[in-house]
Amino acid sequence: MNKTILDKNPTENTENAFKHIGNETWYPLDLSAIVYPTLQRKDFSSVYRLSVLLKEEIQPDILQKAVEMTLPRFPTYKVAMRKGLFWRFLEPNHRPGPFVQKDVRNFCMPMSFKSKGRWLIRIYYHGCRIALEAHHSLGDGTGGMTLLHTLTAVYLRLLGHDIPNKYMVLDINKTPHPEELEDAYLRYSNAKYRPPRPMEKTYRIRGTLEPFFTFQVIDGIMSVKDVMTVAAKYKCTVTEYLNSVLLYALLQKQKDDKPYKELPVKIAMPVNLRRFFPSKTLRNFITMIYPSIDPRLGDYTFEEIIKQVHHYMRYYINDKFLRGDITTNAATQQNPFIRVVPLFIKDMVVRTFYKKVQDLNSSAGLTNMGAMKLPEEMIPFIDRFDIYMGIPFSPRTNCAIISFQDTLTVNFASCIKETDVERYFFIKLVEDGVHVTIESNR
Amino acid sequence: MSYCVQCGVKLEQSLKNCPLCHTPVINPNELNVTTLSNSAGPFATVKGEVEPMKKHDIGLWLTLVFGSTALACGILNLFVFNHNYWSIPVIGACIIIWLFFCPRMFLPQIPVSVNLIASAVSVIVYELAITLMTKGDRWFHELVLPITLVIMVLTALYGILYKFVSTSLIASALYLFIDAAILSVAVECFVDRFLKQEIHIFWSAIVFSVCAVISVALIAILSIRRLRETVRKRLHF
Repeated sequence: MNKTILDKNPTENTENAFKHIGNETWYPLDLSAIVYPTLQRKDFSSVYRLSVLLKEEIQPDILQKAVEMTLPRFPTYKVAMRKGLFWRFLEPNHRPGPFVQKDVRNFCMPMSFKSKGRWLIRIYYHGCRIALEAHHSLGDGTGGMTLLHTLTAVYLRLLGHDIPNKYMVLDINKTPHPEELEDAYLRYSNAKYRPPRPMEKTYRIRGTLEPFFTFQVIDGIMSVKDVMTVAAKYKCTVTEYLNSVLLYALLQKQKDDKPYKELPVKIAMPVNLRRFFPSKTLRNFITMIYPSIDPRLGDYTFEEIIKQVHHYMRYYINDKFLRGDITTNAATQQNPFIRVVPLFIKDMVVRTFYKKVQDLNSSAGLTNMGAMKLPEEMIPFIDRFDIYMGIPFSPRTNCAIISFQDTLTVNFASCIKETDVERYFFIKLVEDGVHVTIESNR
Repeated sequence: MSYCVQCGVKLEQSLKNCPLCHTPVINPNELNVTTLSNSAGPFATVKGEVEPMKKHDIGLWLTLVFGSTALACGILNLFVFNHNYWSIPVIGACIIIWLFFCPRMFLPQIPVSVNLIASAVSVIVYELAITLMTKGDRWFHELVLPITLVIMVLTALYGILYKFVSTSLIASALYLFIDAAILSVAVECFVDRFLKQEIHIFWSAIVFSVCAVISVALIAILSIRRLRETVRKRLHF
């Protein structure tokens, strides 16, 4: 870590993370979370879904009890969205709920800020599956996964199993550590230079939109060992390999479209900043990187794509570049002129910028939650995890990866009828010798 | 469990088609067995109801802005600048904008057509009010009212085509060009009749011809599926 840059003291930063008004504690939205509510439409909310597949059928009444016991430990998830004149806030939600409900086919449905008790999380059950859906304003995948792990552990304890507090399973009897509630971006947004944001028009998958609101998923389940063997053959990591396969699939799709002018193919990939900047925050603490291939420069073989992605990752994923990125993002929010602009004007500007620039900057999304670590005592009850990035803002496909023990799951979420990208992706895996099992709600 | 013969992936038991390439799953050993269709899938089958987004806040804010503007102008007109009825056009404009944007924010169940009809009626009343404030009403009967009615009919036509025929971008562009062609001819006819008492079509013929050519091209793209797909893919939209 750069020693010449002084990071903010965690205690000093956590003081800014929440405000006490009367007896209540209010949380200003963190740097990433500010964007998500502005994108809210009748057919879109930034909702993601995490689910765990147990080995026994879920008992809803016990799950409800587990939710009631767990949620107070996560004060930034037990909240409702509130609008101020200049910013939005999260206020503690004392309304009844959230209530566990039977799962639905079209999950990740838009989440209104003002209905269903104003809850910004939903808990579903279906067969052996517990699913947590959360609005991205509350936190990122790591925060949500911590809540899901703790909820599952409490549920198993209520069934009579002895599960210790370890890794992402938090002690529900302890008060939350102030660092869990902090906006960690503010602590590390102190680079001396603000690198410009990437702004380049990229290839977009254009498909036939499904009827309002249909959410189509295709899950590919495979062995971690299989994928690691193939990745080792290409001398890269699993993330780099899967990233390259997705880029390869997108390039194939663009070739199929036979455009007059080819465009670069780019993937928006969130990076968990906790790996580089120590923080216990359960709120958003991610930034985006954009591995890309420009077919205008020539035809890339798969090996060349892997090489490009491998070097891109090595070059960009380090604390120097990531700190610069955080500083660029934070600069807008901290600008004193922008701070005094009324919220509705900020909303209009942010929405327009996102639609015209940010959303056009990537061809697909890909997130890798990595390998899930659970207490030894909990492992025998868990089959696998799934993660869905939610409905995309514009018609395209999003890919999310998660692994547990020897099971790696690749979850594609889409709102278009065509499945060409998914087909190319999984066929490439099969060609490389990975055995893939497909599940889908299509 | 079966494998897709096209993709080579293993398919979960409840799948009847490969979700990647839509190839039907036919297991020769299970042709007469119903287990394939009856097995429960990993996903729920019941579709959830999407909660309607409430826009009360924006509606309330717009009501306050337009209401206070109309009220302030009315009071100023009554007690300060009271030499004529200058506040009527301002208050009328506030009512028209409110009627156009706000009712559906409070009551989303109101059909769009009812909202549009109410807005159109308010526009006609507004024009009539301005006519009463000015000398002579010929311009209202011969120019303003016919043009307003033509715009209403064309808007209704656009709405009907959008709802019942197609909502695609190319189809919407086609409706707009058809509307533009008809409106241009109608406007020139009404203006000529009002100014010269005789109709002589000139500039609107050019607009009409351009719109007609574009419309024919769009109809061709819409009716030939392969062409439509090619245009959409090749132009990246």
